[in-house]
Amino acid sequence: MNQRHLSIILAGTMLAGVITGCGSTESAAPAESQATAQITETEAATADTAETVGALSGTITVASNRTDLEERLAQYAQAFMDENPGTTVEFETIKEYDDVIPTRIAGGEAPDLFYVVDPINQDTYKDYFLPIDDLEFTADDILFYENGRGTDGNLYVLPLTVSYCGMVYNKAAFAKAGVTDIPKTVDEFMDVCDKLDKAGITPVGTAFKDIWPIYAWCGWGEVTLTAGDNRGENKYAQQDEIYDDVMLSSMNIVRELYKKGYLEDDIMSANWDQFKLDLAQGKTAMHYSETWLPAQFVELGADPKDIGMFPFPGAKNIKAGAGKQWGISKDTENPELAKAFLTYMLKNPVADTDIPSNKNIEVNDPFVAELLSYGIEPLEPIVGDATFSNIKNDIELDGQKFFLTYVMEESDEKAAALIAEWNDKWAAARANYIN
Amino acid sequence: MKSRTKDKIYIVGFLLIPMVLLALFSYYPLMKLIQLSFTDWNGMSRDLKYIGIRNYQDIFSQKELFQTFGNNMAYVITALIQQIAGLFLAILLNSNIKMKTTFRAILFMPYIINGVAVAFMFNYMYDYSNSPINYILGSLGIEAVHFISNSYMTNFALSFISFWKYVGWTMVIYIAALQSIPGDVYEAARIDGAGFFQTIRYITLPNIKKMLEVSLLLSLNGALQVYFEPFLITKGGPNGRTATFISKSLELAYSYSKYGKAATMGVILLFMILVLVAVQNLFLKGDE
Repeated sequence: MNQRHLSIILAGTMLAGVITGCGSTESAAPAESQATAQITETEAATADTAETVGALSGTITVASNRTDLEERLAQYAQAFMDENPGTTVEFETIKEYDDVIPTRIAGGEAPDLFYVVDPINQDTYKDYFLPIDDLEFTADDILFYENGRGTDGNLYVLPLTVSYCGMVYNKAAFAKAGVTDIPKTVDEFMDVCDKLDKAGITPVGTAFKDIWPIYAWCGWGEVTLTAGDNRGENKYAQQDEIYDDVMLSSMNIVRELYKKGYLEDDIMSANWDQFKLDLAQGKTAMHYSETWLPAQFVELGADPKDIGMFPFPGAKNIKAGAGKQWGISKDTENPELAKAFLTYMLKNPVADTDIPSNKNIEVNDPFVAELLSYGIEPLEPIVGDATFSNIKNDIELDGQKFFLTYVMEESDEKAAALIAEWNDKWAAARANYIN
Repeated sequence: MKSRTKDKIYIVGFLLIPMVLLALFSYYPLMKLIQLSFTDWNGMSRDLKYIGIRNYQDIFSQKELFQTFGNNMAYVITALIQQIAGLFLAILLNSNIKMKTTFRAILFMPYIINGVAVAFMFNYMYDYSNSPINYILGSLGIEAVHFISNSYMTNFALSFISFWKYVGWTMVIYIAALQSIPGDVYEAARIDGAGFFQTIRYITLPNIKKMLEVSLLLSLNGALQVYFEPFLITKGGPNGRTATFISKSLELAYSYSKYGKAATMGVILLFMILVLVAVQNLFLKGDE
């Protein structure tokens, strides 16, 4: 008798567990509608009290990829909260940002403030972000303001930082190899590499194993703007070749460097962390990247006087680019607070080494100053659309991975064949995207 | 009657939880995978757009996706060698040698190390300039080796990682099988004058045949589904020379946001493995 009671209770508990388990999806629905009700309430409330200053309240989560700045970000949020009592701003630092954010969005759990990740582009800004045309800024205040518009014409995202493309180099390494002048043409660049090589220094670091660090050599935007064409990657949506002479002239430099042995001993095992140490210590002399990078060598112990930047040899312009583009989640419960905090971030750089997109903030980054001192004008890309990235995804082209293949291909004919193959695919797919 | 109801409650009570877990974490995702394979889901949007069998057509028209099975072959070959090595170690450690428990523990150890940690470790071993292996070769006056290179051999370098990790596990399975063989059979054979290789050929192998087949199937299955070595170490490069079927599907999902198409590849691989199992079962039945 007792045993039977026990078994009934046991089975009952298990059943109950299962039922509650299944029920959770049902109970989630009312919670969600409650949340939407809350939004309309807050919106109504803010509409009423739009003029009331200091009426901010609520909690927002800001997703950042800067796991290295966790403490600094907490202080930064605290400063905002002190100015605006009653608000809570939490930074969430995510290491695998590009993988985590899409999953969170798909699950309806987007952070209130986050930056654009794949596959979001101009066509789909409206599906994930809130329009922010009503922020207090205009194109006169923020660099790349117009580039944040979606296909529908509304403004959705803005960059907090900007960066300029150029060669980062170790001056001590140059001095050791007896190089006194920075190279201004590709030929001079090769001579410098030769001198460095003879002095036992790796002339150019690629960190090729991690693939992304070579983006400046093979990125359509970087290469085209450096060549003086402000259409950037949008140029390629208008032509049947994704790898044209402009792209190849940049990519072939690395091919030549590889053939001459001016890159790391084994590029398939050259990784980013090792590369950074080597350049900081002067074992590696140069790397093609952007102005966000040099500060990291100083962090690794390099003397700031030893690290410098110069324009890419033969560059017609210095490519200026927007950093991560931040927007407010469409599903945020506190749009006013999110807007206030985005405004705050645009006015107050998060890290000292950031180069702000806000033109009203003075830039005193020594590396930017040095890069621009050579008299080559920075060039901004025109406002583009999503056609380029749509076609590129369609044909499944990963430009950086392909670049590694291209550089390592020993035979020139085979390398040319690889290029022709992608150009054919591009031309075929592009036909579906142009009207 | 009473006891029958009681039995029923017991059975339902105890089966319900595992069945629900199985349904929730195996069958539901499987159904979802099949559903996604007919959509063009980008991994983010909340509604699914059905595109019929276009994903399947796409994949069957992309020859390069199936060429990745060429790279999987390196893992299959390694899996076969792993069986032989595992069996050899099992026979060795099932005999009366000193410290056999210690050796077994040491050989089994790699299996319990986290796969990502293993990949990280081999990342270092295979590094051209900093590899301890190359350092030793260098001090012996032998030229350093490019473990990760442009050649097909890179696949073997990668599959060796699985070999190292799983050979101990294979060994344990075989030891279990060997221990189920009664000792008197060996004794009788020895009295009849059978040598070492004869005992293996006529007693050991026939007795552990079932286990051999199971282990082989698991290894082949693993070889077809391998992804973490190329995914973590070479990212499938250069030029897809180390990409496997699964690493390619992960790339589709994560690099190009083509989750629907990646799901289709998952479904196709599932069917290929089902065929493999069916073929193996056919051979089994033929014997019986």
